[in-house]
Amino acid sequence: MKKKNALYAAAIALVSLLAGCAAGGGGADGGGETEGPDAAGYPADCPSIELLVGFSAGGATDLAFRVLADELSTELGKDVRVINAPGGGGSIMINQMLSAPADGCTLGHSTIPSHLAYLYPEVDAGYTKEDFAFAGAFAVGPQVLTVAADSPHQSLDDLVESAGADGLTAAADSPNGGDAIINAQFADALGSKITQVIVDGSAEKVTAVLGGQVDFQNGALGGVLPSIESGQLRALAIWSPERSDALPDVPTAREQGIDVVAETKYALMMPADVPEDVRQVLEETLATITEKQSFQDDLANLGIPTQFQTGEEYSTTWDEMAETVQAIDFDSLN
Amino acid sequence: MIRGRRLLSQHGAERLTACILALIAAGVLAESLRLELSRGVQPGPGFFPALVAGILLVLSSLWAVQGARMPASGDSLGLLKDATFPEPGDQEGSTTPEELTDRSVNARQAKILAFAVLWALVPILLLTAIGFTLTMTVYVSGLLLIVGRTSRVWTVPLTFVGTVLVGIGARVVGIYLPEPTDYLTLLGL
Amino acid sequence: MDLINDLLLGFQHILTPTIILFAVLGCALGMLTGVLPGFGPPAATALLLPLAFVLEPTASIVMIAAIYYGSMYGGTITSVLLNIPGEVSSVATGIDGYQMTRNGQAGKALSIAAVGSFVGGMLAVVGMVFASQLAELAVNLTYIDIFGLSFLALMLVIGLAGRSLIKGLISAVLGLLIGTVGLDHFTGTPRFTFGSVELTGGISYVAVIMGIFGLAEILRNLTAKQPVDFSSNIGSLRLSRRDLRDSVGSMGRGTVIGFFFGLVPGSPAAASAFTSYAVEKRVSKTPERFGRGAIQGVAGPETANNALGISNFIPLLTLGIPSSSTMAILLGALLINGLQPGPLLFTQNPEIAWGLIASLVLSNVILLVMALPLVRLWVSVLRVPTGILYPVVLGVMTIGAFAINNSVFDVGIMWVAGLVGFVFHKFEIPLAPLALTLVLGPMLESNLRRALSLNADLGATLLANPIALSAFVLIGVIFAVKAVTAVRRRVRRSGGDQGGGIPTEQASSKADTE
Repeated sequence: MKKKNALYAAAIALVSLLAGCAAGGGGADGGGETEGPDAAGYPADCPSIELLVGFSAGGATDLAFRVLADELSTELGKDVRVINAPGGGGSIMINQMLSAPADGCTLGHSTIPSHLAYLYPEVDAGYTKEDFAFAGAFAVGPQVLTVAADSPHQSLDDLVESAGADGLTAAADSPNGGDAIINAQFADALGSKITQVIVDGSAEKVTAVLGGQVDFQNGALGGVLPSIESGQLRALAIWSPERSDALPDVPTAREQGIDVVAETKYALMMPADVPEDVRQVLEETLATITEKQSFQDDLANLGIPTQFQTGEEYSTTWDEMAETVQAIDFDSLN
Repeated sequence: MIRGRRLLSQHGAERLTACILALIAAGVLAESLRLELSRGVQPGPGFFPALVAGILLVLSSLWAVQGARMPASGDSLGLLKDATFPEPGDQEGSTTPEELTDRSVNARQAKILAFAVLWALVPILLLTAIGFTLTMTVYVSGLLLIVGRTSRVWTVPLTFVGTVLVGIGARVVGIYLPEPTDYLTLLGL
Repeated sequence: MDLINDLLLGFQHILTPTIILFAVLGCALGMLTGVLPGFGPPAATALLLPLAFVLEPTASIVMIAAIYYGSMYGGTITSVLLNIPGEVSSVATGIDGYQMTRNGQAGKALSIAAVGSFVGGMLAVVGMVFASQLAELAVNLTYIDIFGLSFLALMLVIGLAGRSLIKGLISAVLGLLIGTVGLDHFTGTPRFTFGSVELTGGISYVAVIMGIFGLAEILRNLTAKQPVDFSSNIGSLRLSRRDLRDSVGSMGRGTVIGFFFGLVPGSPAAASAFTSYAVEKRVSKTPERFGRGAIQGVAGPETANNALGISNFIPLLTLGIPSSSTMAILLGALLINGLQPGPLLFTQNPEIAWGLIASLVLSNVILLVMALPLVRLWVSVLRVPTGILYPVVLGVMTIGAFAINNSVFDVGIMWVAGLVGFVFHKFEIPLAPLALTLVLGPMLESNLRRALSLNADLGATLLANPIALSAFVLIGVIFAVKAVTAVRRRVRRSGGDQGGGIPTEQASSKADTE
């Protein structure tokens, strides 16, 4: 009897190993076959490149960076793999990146405004912008204000009018992150109060709106698009400077009289001490990738339009956002 | 039964632990006050911890006091008994006989514990420094040799081989374990 | 019926050799990685996410669902055999599962776990197909409702406390405290982090349970006066008719419990398993057997786990909302392939939506077929002398703890928890309450604060929400009943009557120091 079991177990193990090889070979492990016409030699001697993402696997941000990692592998001829290090609003991942050797083998995801949390006094971040070097930005994520489909508000005006003495309620996923930044500016423009209910993650924000616990929520376009299209959520405004191709009928907040603009920028960063030639190669590669149709299509599936910025330009955008954020008083929201 | 030298008596140990818990509760309470119990009408970050710490303070005091009285006057407050349902035939204590009465820690046991804990520092300190393969070989070999008393000749090499195989298996499945030089990728995995 | 047609369409879509192979591989891979403590369903499914880029949608989705399934059972294996819960939902199973192993009934435990998983999964799929509107109801639960229900679940702690209420409460309260470490979600202020970056993320639940259950047990056995050796006590591997008969009720109740817990987005799997365990203990005619190896204590939670695993898919399929991190990964796989999660999936790609549901049925069957014969193999692990087994297990646990967050900090947490668990055992403080409150604590605090931020007047909120109100009324009733019973018992005792006939077990035990 024992021999039979041993064989059985060995067979399963073998099959799994083979599957693993196949899976590994196709996915995270060996995706680094050079397909580009001139595979830029990566000026750092890394067996593989680690891209740290400060969010859990499967989330919108994580997916965007997995798409990027895939393209980077192709372009650089090196295996780029995503490692999730969620928690602390990104600080865990940032600290992990900064404590790795600055040899160009460890990169990090950068999204603003979420990474601007280090500016707040109560967050003892232990790092500043000076610790980072940016390869550049590759995408911009629109934020959409949504209400439940059965809500009486058909437009932003309706919502604003219903504000009354108690103001409005909104679901947010952190007391001082991207949502809060929008809500604070929104409340300012409205001249009335917005009470935030802090929930765990974007799925719970949608649940809060659907269940009628709050008046509205601000969500990433990619995340709410399916719910909008299936008729459960209604988008009242988009917080970008211009309308989105994915939601052409949704006016911007600006158009409707609320002069607030907010978007999430997706970028690639690394520790500041990484050699400049590594950073430049990454910058050029990002520029190439953002032009590729396949990349644009993949990100379109996630509801994120591509937009390239050099490291320098991204840094400027960072400073501009930081200025806006530092002027905000978050206590009014909670 | 092996009779070892008792380091700490049964009741003494319980009382000591209860006091430690009470101290921890007090500490948490102090820190919670610093964190603000309330912000306006809303509970602040310190509210919940303070509430829980307060309960712990009460509970650990009760435990310390009750431990002091055991077994002389028995449990007059009825707190040692299960206050839910009367359970006929329910035995006091856990499953095996030797644990029922022995809450002491003798010298031999303390030595084993100390070794296990200290040896655990091997992976904690070295895992990210010298990598998975070497660290785990050292760690597991050490345990096998000292705790398991296995053969001195074969243990280390076999453990090394086993560790390498596990490392390969993990990589194949997609789990990336730290290594100083990524020899598995160099091997083409 | 339309639904039957749709389901058949789904089956047709997936019953191709390639997809079946992927399902088998997924289940096997899931079981194998699930055995690694600390590597639970979220990590296992995340492993396969890169596949979603490469394979065609149905194949990757089926495989991800299968690995999710397999890893749930894999976690149970180590929990039952070695008291090392590999992941959150295996904790409750291990309470009696491990005792069954100590009683020489490891084979039965693993087998009933497999059967329970199968039953729970199949019934839940039926529920999913016919009763998915329930998900919309769950969305309407308000924060005070969830707070009330969680508090009700907290009352279970008292049921798990065993002999000493004070000790049970201490255990529960410690769990609540440990859960507060980290960033306060509401204000962003760090609590009890002592400046450590790792603590900012909170104390990892998986590391703690690996420590207080698994590691503590190993330390206990190493320091025991008589070295524990299971190899001579393997016992029967097959389930008798009686075992099945005893477990039928538990499986039924477990299915219902798990199914409903899975509908509420964000409800932790551990809560459902513990609830099932507590319910089984309550309705059992022999509650004293719980904690000593009652088969219902394994059948109930395992069934609940799998029913929850299936019903977790419902919010994703009906509303497009992922109710757990594993579902989020599945959602990611859909998005990458340009598919719309939610009701649109049924209209735009019905074959994939129904194929997914059909694949859950398939995975259920595959898992049962794979798991039962392997029980013998797993149980034979116990034959390995502990001198060799424990060092290897410690090595595996170290890696598992590290793999949670790629950090040795969690290994340290596991060891601290292990020492705490060891001390708990010495003082007969029950561990189950801590394991439950560690999960419930954050839920209680968050939902109360959310309710309060919407309306600072708690009284008004309670009155406006019947579910919350009934939950608290129920809690009040339970307390009242217990108080009355306790008083009555004491009156009866001091009245000279020793409480009825004393069974021989109790008379011979010298521990009856009441």
